[in-house]
Amino acid sequence: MSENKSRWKPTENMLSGLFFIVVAAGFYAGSQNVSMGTNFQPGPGYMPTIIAALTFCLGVVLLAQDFVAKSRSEAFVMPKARPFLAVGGILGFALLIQPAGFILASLFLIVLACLAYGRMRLLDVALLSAVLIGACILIFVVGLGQRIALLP
Amino acid sequence: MMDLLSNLALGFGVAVTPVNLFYCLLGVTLGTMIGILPGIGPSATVALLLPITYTMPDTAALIMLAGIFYGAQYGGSTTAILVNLPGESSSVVTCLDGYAMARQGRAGIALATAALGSFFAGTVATVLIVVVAKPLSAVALAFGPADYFSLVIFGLLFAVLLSSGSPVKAVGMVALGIGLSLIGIDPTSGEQRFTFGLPELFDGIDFVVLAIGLLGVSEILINLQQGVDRDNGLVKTGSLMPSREDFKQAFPAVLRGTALGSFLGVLPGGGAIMSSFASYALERKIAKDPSRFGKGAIEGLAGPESANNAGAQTSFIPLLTLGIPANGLMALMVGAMMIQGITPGPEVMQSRPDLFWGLIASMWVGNLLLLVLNLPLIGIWVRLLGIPYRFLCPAILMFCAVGAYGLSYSFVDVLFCGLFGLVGFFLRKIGCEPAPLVLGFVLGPLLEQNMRLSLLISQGDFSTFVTHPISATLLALSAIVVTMMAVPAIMRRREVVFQGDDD
Repeated sequence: MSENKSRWKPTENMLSGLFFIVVAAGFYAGSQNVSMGTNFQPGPGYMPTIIAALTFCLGVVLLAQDFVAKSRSEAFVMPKARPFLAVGGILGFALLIQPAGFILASLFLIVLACLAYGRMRLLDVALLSAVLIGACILIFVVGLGQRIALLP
Repeated sequence: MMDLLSNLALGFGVAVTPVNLFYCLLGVTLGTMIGILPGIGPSATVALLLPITYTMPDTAALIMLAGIFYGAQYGGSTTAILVNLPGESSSVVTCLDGYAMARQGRAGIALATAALGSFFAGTVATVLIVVVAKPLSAVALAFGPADYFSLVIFGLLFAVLLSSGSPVKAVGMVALGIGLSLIGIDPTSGEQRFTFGLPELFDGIDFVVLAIGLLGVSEILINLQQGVDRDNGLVKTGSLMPSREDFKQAFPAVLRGTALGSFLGVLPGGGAIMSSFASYALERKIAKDPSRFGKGAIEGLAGPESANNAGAQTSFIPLLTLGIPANGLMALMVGAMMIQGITPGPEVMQSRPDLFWGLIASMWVGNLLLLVLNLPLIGIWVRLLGIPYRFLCPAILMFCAVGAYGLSYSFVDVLFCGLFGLVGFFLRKIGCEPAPLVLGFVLGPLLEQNMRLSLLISQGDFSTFVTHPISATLLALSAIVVTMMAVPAIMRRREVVFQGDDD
């Protein structure tokens, strides 16, 4: 199916169908490590197996809806790449906060978020960082008394 | 009747003591201040402020948390109206017409309508709680594991029915939510499930992390994708109070919203989230000119806002009488009660009447304080409209990250928050709304534990779910819900075939 991908346009239903089947496979694989138990005494693997079966069926139904039915669901629109910098900012914040402290981690997050938005002046970014970091320190560290290290 | 009055008197006696009144006011104020921050909804606010209450007396702690909850909910509506950013999925609907009104320079009117409608709904819902709490908790004492199991199934199915979009996908989202809730150490057997050996996953995924990521971060990604340009400079402020004409249009919607919200809030899994959607759909259906909706129809704001608040209040009913959290927020309240050494459930009413009725009375007091606090502030909130989105977007992301980190000072939580943001974004892109997933996540453990317990009691006999009368009734109702879902799905497919494409 991958060869003619250029002509084959994935729809919302096909992708969600595939997604649910992958999810089902994941839950099924995960439940193999723990005991299934019996109907009399269901074990920790009982519920995950039910979930896997259910999501698998739903996935098949969704796939069938688009392959069999005459009308297809809406085509999937490929998202732009730039906004994902925002997620990069959050992940960066997560990795930086313990080694580098709150201020540097926040700076990284804000700069990436601004890049994700695009077209921002440097001065704006600097001002925003100062205000936001100051406000967060006031609200969360001083006000709510959270123990967050500010500097490395 | 006398019984009710004496209970109420007891409640108000507890709620208006200076100490409790102070905590209620403090809660409402803090809740509004934090809730108004874009991207932080009521759940995140309650989670953030939960640690403050650890050392307080139990009644005061719960009263304050309830105050935080209303405050945050109202603050969230304010952000939704002013900057079109829903702090929680329940205020998504508020955005539709509330933001449209703000753009027309009617932001003050929208805020006042929301405040007055919410207060009215809150008052009615409080009375309702007082009336039904006692009989319902008598029923609750008769609930066995099989009944709870069926109740959760019913609640989840009802949530699917009310969600927008494809029911098949919504069921899938619920299932995924249940699956994700199983991550961690199984409380019955002590075995690890889906933890990949990571100690951070032993306690499971934190609800707040999941919610901030799936709802908050993904929302920003969607906004950035659409390239929303909200930097149109200042919006006209205009009049602050609704005119008589506005009242006339809004009041019937408030009444309908209150009724709908009070009913849906009681259902586990329904809660405030679904009531605003349902109310919006209802208003649109019965309006003479549905095309006004989304363009600043005051009914489209007043109905859902009232429904939302009524639902938020009555969702305390299943919590206080059955010990079942109706939504993620109530799950946080369960956590708060457990920390105080109270196991929520039908026994609370007997063992701690002061706490029970005090909490209920403080709901009304909290709503009143909220109104008194917010009406004068409307002018200030409206001025905040000037902040452009290019500043808001980094600010919201920042609050999401700090909120997730502050829960337990674990960077893994923040990583998960970012990942769930991505997942939530792609789910929305393929037409799967994340709200049912969150509900499944909250109710998942309850579903699993009660299923295992009832099978254990019945010695593996599945007929236990249909031989218990309460359970059988609930399953029958669930079957009706499924039929209600299936019929329009078949009808819709016909329509689509005829129209070619919709939307």
